[in-house]
Amino acid sequence: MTDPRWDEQLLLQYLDETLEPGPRDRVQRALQDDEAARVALRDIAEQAVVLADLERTGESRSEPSRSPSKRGLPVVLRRAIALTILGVVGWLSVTGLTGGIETGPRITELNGSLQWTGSSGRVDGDLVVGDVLQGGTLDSLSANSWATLEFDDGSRVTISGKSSLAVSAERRKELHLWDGALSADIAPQSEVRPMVIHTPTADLEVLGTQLNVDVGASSTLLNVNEGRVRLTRLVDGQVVEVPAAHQLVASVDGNEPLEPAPRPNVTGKWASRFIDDTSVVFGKWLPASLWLPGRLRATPLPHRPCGKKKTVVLHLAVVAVSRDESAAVILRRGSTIRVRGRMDAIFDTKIGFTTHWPRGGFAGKFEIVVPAAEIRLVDGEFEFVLELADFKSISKKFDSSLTGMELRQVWAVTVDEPVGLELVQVELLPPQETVRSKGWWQSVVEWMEDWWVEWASFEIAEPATDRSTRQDDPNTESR
Amino acid sequence: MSTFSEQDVLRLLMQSRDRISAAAWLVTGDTQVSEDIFQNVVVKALTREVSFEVEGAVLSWAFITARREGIDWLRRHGRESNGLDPVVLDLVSQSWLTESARDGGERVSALRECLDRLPDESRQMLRMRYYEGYNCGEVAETFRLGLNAVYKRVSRLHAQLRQCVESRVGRMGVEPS
Repeated sequence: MTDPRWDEQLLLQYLDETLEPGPRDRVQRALQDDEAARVALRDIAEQAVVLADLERTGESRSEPSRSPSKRGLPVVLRRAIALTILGVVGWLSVTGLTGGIETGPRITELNGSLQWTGSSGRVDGDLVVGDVLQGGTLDSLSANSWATLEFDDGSRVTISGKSSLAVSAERRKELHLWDGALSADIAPQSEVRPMVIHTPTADLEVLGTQLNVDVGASSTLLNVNEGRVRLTRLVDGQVVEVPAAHQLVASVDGNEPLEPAPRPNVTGKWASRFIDDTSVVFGKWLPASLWLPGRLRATPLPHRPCGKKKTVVLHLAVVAVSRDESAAVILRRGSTIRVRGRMDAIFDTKIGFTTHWPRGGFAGKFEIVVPAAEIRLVDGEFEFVLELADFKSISKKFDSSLTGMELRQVWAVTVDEPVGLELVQVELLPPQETVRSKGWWQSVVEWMEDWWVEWASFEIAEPATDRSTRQDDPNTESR
Repeated sequence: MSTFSEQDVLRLLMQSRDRISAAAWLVTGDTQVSEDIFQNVVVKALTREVSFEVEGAVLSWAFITARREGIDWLRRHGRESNGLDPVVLDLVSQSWLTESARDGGERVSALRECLDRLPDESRQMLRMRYYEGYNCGEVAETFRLGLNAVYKRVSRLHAQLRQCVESRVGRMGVEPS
């Protein structure tokens, strides 16, 4: 039994910071020395959250809170006041003075394994297009999953791959990207109430722009493609504005300079480097040993595809292309992806990748199955050389033409079978010269495509001025 | 040594949900934010790569993570801290950790029953303060009471709830008035 003499009132005033310095110091000392005081504090905290939980989950037996001072008003008068308020709010909404009555964002596209956890703790794994999300966390659970949310004002946010995004219940335009990748196309916002995206290492205030955010364990990579974003680094509170066509990394190290850098040039060639875990999105990084180089080992991930009852176990390894690169890696006609790795037993293996449009924005996921019959192991090692043209889009929405898209992530996965899959190196190889030895018309087409890629890379370095003429909007693109 | 499966970790966290949220509340003073923080703790526990080998490790990690997330939230809202000494937060977390999940669960279960038996006006006062997020000054205005009177009533309610919980856990059957 705890000491009943402890004065809870002092504790409440202490928590509210309304005590004078003398009593405040006494409470502070008591909390350090007197267990009864700590038990009282603990009980207050438990009582507060349990009461809130009862109210939140609707287990409350009484009606919602109402000001006692208004209880005495006649019912007719109360209804008249309510109607008047509704009318005024409606008028303000129509005239745009309030920015409209906001609801939560609506799912407009989804694929793969997704899960919504509402603020009451209820988990929903059967999301469908049209669901409205209010107050909770949306998790994209596997490499090939994604979801696009659309707000009332037309702003669109896409998370893809292993990502976790919390949507505020009160402030509809407040998002928390705890992990993973987000691409956002934000409509112009009010300066006094911008969209805010929080990450573990930075806060981003967005007034209307196109941006991509990649969140790792200790850093946030921001790419601004259009508009301007105000970034606050949490470790030291330093604020910097990131203009269009620039990028910035905000990490937990406050000693690192916080200066936006121009968006880099493009390259058609890339190779993973598993010298550390910087580029690891999912899987276990294994350091180099005497006989083996550094590599990425697939780790298990339970996965229940939307609409399916059976949960499968993916053995998944995902590597980021963009996280440690100073240049945007662009796909070209005739490019190939070479994957070298190890496995203990031969099994069907899926290789896939995520793309963005050249000037930002999620552009789809593509994958290919390498059947067990086509896998050759030499001393436990395999090598796949895969033509881009052989990859299939996971969703019909995205065209299978990949020329000019930016490569963001590559993954390898086996389903249900833990075959010890490890990635030793993943490469994007530029087109071979022999690919060009075709008919003159084919050569002209390819030359024009290459020119388009170069033109797009030039545009990356220039701030776009007219959002209405964007070529990279997935909804209007007709390629 | 065997490690806890995802299901074990999830079960343990859900059993300790109110206590982890309460630890976050001590930092943020906001019950809605504390609930969000608890959910983030669960997501992090299920997606992190380090395994847990004992129950204490799961909960210890969860309390520390909840507190860090609370501090991050304060910083994002322009506040350095809530004034509570980190040593005190450590000691309170320790008292939660030394209690078994079963004992803690029984206490919270008793608390739910006690809260449900509170008189309407008392419940309304606590609801305004802790669920709707009004400070005691605003509660005093709404109830047309003095600030000190509200502090007295709220603190008395806390004391009654504590006695009610202790009585129920000790099967003595005392209820709040």
